[in-house]
Amino acid sequence: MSSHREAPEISKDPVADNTDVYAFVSPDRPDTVTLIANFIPLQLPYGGPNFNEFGDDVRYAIHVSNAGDARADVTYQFRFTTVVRNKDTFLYNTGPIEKISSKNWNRPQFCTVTRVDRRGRSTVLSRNLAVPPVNVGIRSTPRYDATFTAAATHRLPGGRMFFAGQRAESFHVDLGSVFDLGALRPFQAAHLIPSANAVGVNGTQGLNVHTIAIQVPKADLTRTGKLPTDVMDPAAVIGVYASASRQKSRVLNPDTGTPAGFGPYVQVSRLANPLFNEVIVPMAAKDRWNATDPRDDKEFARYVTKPELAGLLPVLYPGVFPKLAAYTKPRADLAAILLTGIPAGVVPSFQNFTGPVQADLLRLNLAIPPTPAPKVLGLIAGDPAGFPNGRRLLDDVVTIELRAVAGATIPLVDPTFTPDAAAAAVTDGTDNTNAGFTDHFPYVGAPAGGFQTLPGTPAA
Amino acid sequence: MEQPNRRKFLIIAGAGAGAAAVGVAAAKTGIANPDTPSAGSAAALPADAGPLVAYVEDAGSGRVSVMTGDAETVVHDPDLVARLSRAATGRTA
Repeated sequence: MSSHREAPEISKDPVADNTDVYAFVSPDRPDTVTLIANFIPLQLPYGGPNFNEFGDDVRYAIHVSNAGDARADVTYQFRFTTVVRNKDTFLYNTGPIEKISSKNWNRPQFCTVTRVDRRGRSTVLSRNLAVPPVNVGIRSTPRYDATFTAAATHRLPGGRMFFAGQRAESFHVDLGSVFDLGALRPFQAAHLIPSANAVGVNGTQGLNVHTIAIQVPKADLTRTGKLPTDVMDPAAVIGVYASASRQKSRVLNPDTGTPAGFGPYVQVSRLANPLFNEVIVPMAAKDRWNATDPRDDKEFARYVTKPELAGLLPVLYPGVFPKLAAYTKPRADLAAILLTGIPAGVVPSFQNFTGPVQADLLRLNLAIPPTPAPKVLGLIAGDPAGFPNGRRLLDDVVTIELRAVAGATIPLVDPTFTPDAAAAAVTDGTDNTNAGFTDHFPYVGAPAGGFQTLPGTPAA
Repeated sequence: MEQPNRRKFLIIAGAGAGAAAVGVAAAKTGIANPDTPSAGSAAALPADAGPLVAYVEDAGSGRVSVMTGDAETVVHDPDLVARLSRAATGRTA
């Protein structure tokens, strides 16, 4: 998955598990940027009675680097507080939650948003921002989207917008297939262990996540404090990543059955480019990668320039990737895409280079305007407003990264290489089958409802 | 990195993991040895003393990490580390 349960330790701590990060120029407010970080993977909509919620003991953050050294120059921190209104009931809601302030909702959450600058100076932007309930069902949370989405969308000082709460999973991938020895259903007849080709199955269908979304003026994020207009200006590029941190020490109180935290916050999850920790970093190093800051990613660069997956594809699909199998040079294309950004001169009239410091950051050139006709394959399909120039909700990052790893992007840096024909065709064959995206903030579709969503079909 | 092949692909490899020890204390538990000069009595506690965690990763280093609230102070105090280590084994003297 993009970064769902992608490392051994964070897979045991879903509340802090960062699943996807998005960064794009807001299509309806192009002088702003929308930054989205999703957490708590693979939520069954009917997963009560203790439904998914943000952790009061987790420090969530979205970081922006703009000075070329991969350090966070602007950080937005998000802290949540949970209230139990009625301590004498087991119910999440004691009646219909007809509005976000309903007393029938027994476990509301509130968020405090803080902006931290490069020097560590904090400014609380707003406190006690209402978070919506999860989508329980037609009786408990009637007319969910109309009732809660706008009510939980808050205006912050400085022209910023904020939303935090449960939403539909936007990321799509054939989970059941890719984890079964790298099978891709549309091409599985060519697999080492073949079966008939089939259409892809979206493994995240019917599942929800918890979204933190903030929309900020571009000028709030650039090193110059100005609105960038020149695509080739290095100052037009920002690097984005999200993180979750917990206090260093945790002590369980046997009298209350609850933990108490002590000490400074330590990063337990981070994410920028989708699938980086998932398929680039070896299992034994994944937990450490999650605890490491992007500016220290140099030690992981060797996994990018010689990715394990590029070696597996020719093995898993015998005879399909002979040119990839024969390519022995370090993968400078992947290093550019994932670790430094693409420098000027590689793709005509495009760059999202942040300098030589190797760091997994989601790099976005703010001077590239949103397009009214986006292509799900983004930059490799000629749409520079999409991944890997930032990431939009609609970008098919699984297919993009599959094709890149398969060699489709090598010619960008090595014109002597001709990719295998399969590199331009490989895909897991999935599309978004959850709620559609909206054309305004927070853009992410409304969450699937517990009552309305049917369980999957078991088969063995 | 080794090139994968069909045979190696079907071989599963494992990896080991390290371990560390944690010491937990609270200011009011009185772990300190009252016979040592550095020990404090209840009356000498700071007015704002609250629960804290002391963590000794390597007793030989003489360093103890003291965490309270969202702060951490690393103290080099071999005597304190020794007393904590003795306390951890049930020997307070």
